[in-house]
Amino acid sequence: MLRYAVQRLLLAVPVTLGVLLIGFILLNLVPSDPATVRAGPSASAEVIAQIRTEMGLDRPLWEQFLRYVGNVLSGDLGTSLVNNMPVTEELSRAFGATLELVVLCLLWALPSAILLGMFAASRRGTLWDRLIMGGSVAGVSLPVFLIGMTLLWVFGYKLQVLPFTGRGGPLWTVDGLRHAILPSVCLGLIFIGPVARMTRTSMLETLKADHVRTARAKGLSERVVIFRHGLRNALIPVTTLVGLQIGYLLGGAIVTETIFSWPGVGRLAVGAIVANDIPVAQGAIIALSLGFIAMNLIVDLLYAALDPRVQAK
Amino acid sequence: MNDDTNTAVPNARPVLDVRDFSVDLTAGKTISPIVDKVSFEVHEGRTLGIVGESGCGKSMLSLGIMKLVPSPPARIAGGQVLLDGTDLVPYSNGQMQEIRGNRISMIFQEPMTSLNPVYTVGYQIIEALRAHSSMTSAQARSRAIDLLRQVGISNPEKRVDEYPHRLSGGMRQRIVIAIALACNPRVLIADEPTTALDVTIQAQILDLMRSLKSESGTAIILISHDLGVIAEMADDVVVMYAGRIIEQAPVHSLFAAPSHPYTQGLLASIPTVDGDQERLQPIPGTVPPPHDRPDGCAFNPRCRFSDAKCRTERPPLEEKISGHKVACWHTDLGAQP
Ligand SMILES: Nc1ncnc2c1ncn2[C@@H]1O[C@H](COP(=O)(O)OP(=O)(O)O)[C@@H](O)[C@H]1O
Ligand SMILES: [Mg+2]
Repeated sequence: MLRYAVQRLLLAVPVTLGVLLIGFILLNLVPSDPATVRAGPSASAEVIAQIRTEMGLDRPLWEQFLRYVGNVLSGDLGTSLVNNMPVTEELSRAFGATLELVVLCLLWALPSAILLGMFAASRRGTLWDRLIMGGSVAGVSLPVFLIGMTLLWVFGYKLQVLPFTGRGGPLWTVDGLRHAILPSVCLGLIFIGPVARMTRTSMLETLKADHVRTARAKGLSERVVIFRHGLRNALIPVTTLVGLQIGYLLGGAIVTETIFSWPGVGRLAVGAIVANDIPVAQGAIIALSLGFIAMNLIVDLLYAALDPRVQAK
Repeated sequence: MNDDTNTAVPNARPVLDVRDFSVDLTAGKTISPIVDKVSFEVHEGRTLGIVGESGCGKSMLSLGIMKLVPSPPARIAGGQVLLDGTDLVPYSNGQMQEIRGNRISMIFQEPMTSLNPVYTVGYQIIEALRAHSSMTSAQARSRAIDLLRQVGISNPEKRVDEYPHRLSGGMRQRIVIAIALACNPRVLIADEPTTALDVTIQAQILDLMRSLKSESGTAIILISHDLGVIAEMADDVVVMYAGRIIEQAPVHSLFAAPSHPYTQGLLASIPTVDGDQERLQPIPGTVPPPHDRPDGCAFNPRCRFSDAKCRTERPPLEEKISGHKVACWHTDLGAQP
């Protein structure tokens, strides 16, 4: 298990370098000059030229990239062009907010999806099954912003039962939790459909397996058969799916944060791109990508823990 | 053949007494019997062989005894399964849980998939032990290691923590046998336990079962489509065709005087020891599916003795010689192959 974890971790290194490169190239394609942004609207041409030299923007691209990578590795992501704050400081605040949102979303959406999937499987072919599966298709096909706007309009505006802008206090305070409900529900709803669907299929498949028959023939109770020999095995493909969904989850987080003014990395990235604040945008992209890599790593390890055949390969 | 062990059991109560046992299969709107009024007895320390081609209902019968038929589509339709005199058919699933793996155990055909890939073999044995006793996990573990040794697994202290995917098919079947034996069952049902294994491993597993029977006195139901295996292992034999018993006899009597044309056909298709391939004659045709069974004798479309009566009237299972029952209108013809 440990060897497997180290292997996976080493694999993350080239991926991270690739992310840095792609982020760098993308933001250099943007037709905007960081020096002009930093200098402000009233600066003269000489001042802008001087700032450009200071920022090293007159050097060749590859040199800029190497210097950038060097800075990132030493923990320096530059300063914001807009408010001169260190990017790392802005990011660490925003990262906490996004982490809070994603964790809260997973905490309610994953168990709900798995329970819904199991319930649908146990009531296969009934109205319940069709309702849950129909709902999950709707969840997959509706765009996030539509789900978000609907939630915001119904619960925030019409019923006025929940706050819908910004973050309250920390999650463990009532206010913090109330603020987090709508965004995490919004984010969870896009996730719950595919996971419930996969759980149902996988559960039905597993319960037909020979080893489940062996478990019954041993005289195990139906509850033990379903959870220990059914669900446990059925979760293996579900884990794979969750891994594949992480990209959507982070993409959804960006949209959700924007709709509910949640001060996370996604919203930071969108704001920075709109304001041409390239160091912040780059930093946010790196943070999101590292989050993506880290979550994939966790899923891989979970997968290996669930299925002993994986580590053997 | 085990003629020596075939001293008739004097009126002792059978461990398992199956009477008029039926299983129905629902497909769309049609309900057809896949096990049709089957009756037999199994006695302590003896082996009953059940033989018949694939699709005859042997697996459904064995799952039916455990009350584990896949439902839907299948359903126990009637009859009795008396275990030491108590009928299991009316038992609830909760009551059956105390019987399964404890007083009746089962071994399956597919050793490669019969074990759960995500748990160690030790865990899977211990699970069976602890389901039916109040052993501590340490006691169960040492008993699991004993069981592994008993079924001929070398280095059991190490193997107990192995996952199934690290073991060969033959080894996995030994593990399944260890699980089945964990609680010293009264009855062991082995559904084609060696069919998926190659010949050498097959012989080893059969040897293992034989020695276990003589040590424990467990009654065994051995299901096979291979009369060779049955001849080697069984004391009594039931021949099934299309869900019914068509011949039932002590093993020596069945092989000395096979009376149903189907049994004769099965016998003619066993390879002989001298490897005389010329004599191999598979029975032409196939077992009819449950929803499409002919009237009269179900075997009649494939039978060379078939006449008008065979096509309209079902022959009853009747005792022709002492202890030897046949369901055929032409046993007089059939008895002279
Ligand atoms: N799960 C199932 N669904 C529908 N039909 C089945 C199922 N299992 C078995 N059958 C049918 O029941 C009959 C008996 O099957 P089975 O007991 O497996 O035969 P055997 O073990 O003698 O090969 C066959 O005709 C088979 O097609
Ligand atoms: Mg079978």
